[in-house]
Amino acid sequence: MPHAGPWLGYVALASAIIAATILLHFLLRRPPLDLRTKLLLLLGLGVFPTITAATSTVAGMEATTHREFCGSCHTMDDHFENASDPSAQSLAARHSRNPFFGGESCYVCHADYGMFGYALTKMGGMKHVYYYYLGGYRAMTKEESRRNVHIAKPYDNTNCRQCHTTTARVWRSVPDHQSLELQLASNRVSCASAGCHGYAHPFSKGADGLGAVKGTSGQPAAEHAP
Amino acid sequence: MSVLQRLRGLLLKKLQKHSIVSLVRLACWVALVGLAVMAASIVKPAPLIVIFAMSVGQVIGIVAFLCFLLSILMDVVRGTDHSPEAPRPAQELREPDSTRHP
Repeated sequence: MPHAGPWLGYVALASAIIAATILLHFLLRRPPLDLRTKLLLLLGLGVFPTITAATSTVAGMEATTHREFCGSCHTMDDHFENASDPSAQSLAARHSRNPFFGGESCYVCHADYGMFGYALTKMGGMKHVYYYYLGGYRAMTKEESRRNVHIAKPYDNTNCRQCHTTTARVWRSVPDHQSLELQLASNRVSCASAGCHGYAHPFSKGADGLGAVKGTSGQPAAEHAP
Repeated sequence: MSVLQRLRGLLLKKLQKHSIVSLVRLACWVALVGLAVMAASIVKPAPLIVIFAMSVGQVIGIVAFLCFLLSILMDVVRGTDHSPEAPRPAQELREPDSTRHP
């Protein structure tokens, strides 16, 4: 999705204020319902609210790509703090300091790409909202969320390859890349694994640093199970 | 008389019973609520507020506009038989025209 910028929010607010002014004028001043008033009401009830709805939708969608938005749920506090920490050395933090990722690092790394990528990502986001408000995540402590909240599906290496091309000579000259090429292409080996480039969010992994935090039963916690 | 015709008659009666002005005023209040919800999502883009604005907020706005369209429809259905709250020119139209009906 292209960057809409903050001006879209200003347009939404300005048109909402104009519409509200027209409506309040009609409600408080009670002018006769003649043609002039009807045309004004068409602006106040139709044209400006439509502009507000359209621009606020785009601005709202844009807001959902910001790191602050992802970090607004307490279960993401650790991820948010680590990614925003200028001295942190995790994969997520280092990428977040890259201007291309910037304040939208969560979205840039976790978005689905492809023709319907944006819509699919937003649908996935709706699932997160469901899990948070109705699936029990909201009541979890931070410790519980570290144990129980995990990525819904294995991280797709394609997302890394959006920037890190696998056709460059530098990439191909690394012996591990050559030997694991097929596994990397089929996502059987993750770029962000312990033996390769390290976990993106290492604090969320077990004390052994080799795998996911184990659930209370000793088994890895179910992915996104409440 | 078929059920559909009866329903149509009932709907028209109901439409004529209500004041157009009160319906427009209702549309204005509903639209103000919708605008407030949409503006809130810009001022404070928290997950629930954004989702609420993009769904319920827009439905509220559509309902307000439909109320306005309904008021125009009522105006058309009533023709010159306006309510007392109608604007002055419309009330003048109600006056019997002596030149046309001697």
